[in-house]
Amino acid sequence: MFQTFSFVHVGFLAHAALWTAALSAVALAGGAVGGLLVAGMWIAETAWVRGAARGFVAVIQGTPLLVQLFLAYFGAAFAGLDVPPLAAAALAFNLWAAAFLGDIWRGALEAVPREQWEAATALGLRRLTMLRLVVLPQAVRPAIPPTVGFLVQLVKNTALASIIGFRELTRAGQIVANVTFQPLAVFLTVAVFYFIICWPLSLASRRLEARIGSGRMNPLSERTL
Amino acid sequence: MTVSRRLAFGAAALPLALSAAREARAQTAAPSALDAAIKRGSLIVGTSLSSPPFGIVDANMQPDGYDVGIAKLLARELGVKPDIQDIVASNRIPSLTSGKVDIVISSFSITAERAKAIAFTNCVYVDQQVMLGPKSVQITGIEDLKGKIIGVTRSTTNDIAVTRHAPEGTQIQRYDDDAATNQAILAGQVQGMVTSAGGAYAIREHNPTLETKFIVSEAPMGIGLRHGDADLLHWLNTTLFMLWTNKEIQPLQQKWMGGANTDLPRYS
Repeated sequence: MFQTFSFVHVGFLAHAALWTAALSAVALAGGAVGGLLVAGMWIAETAWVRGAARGFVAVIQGTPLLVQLFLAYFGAAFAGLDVPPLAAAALAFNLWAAAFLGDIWRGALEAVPREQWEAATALGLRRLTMLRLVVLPQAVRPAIPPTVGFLVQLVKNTALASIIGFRELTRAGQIVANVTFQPLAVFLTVAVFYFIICWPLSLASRRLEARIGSGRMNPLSERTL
Repeated sequence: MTVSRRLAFGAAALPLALSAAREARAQTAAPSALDAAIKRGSLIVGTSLSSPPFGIVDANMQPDGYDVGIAKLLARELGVKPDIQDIVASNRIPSLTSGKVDIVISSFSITAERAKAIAFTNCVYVDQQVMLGPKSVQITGIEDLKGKIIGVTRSTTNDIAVTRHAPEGTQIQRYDDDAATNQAILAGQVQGMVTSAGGAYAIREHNPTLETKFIVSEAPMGIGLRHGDADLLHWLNTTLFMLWTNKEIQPLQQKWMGGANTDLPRYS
């Protein structure tokens, strides 16, 4: 009945790691689109649009991700919708990532000095043009470290999706640990897989920061456009 | 201010809306999960695959264990394929009530409290809840738990048993899944754990430094299904009775638990 930890198990874990990576990628893609929307709404001129963005972020940040996963999976079922685990997890992680990325990015936008916005308005730039040419180029760099920090967290938080029957890396680790009774070896392997997913993210972040350059840049230089 | 008040109202209204939706669904006489399974060609069974020896994976990483064996027998009798869904212990009832699975066979101890939310079939196994601990730790009875750290899986009958019987001063450490509880005792983070006799047998097989200290209580286990599905309940009880009579359940118990029950108590 019991097995020794072997390459079969490592393969099983690798397969689950792919699911972890896939869920992370989906959450990243959906979260990036949603986050842009939230950040854009947050700095909008219309009061109710700003209020909606703030309300959304407050609700998502103010409730545990675990509860959101439960609502997306079991809650939807009670409402008569049969949502498969992958879809429920993707939905919950998309909303969650959208709220946090939106909050990070509106912070970066607001960190661009007020004078820059005013000067751009004085030059007669329309709002979208001003954002594109003046504000965004200056907001990108300070946004990178917290964004990557959040993405790494996101990858690790996908472990929570196991609660709704999504077999990702951590759940696969539990299953293997319980058939091999070698938790140390199993979870060290699990940690290595997480590291393989997360480390390139951190590395890419540092590269990106270096490429965009240090210090304040000239917003109108061709390099940043 | 108004925004936050509106949010608070929305948050409070959500569970109400959900339960209203559930009631609306319950009233439109749902077809039996039995017919649904036959039509679908598969029986969807919720089982935790990290609960040896009830639910584990085999050398090919396919579902295996006592509960999976029962699920396969039932699917065979129904003439459909077994579709084993891995669920964690704390989601056994939500998985049923939300309609995610047809039945739950997952070391599911029968309790009056649980029976308020879901229905149980007759027993598939009568387990004992035992205290498992390292040979080096002196524990002979429930009083000895005082001052000790005891691991248990949250919201299981093991949890209920140790919470009810342990003396004051016992540190009960609750984990979310059998996987975590088993790891805690193997890693020496707890000085004892309460688990099923079957589970203790599985762990002892692997780690001879552990021994069963004493029996905490008895735990008859059944198959969980949704309330109000008389057809499925009756079919399951009938089939369990026939499988037991034809001596198909006993070898499974022998294989996975190291011994078979002399009889399975029946209440219908």
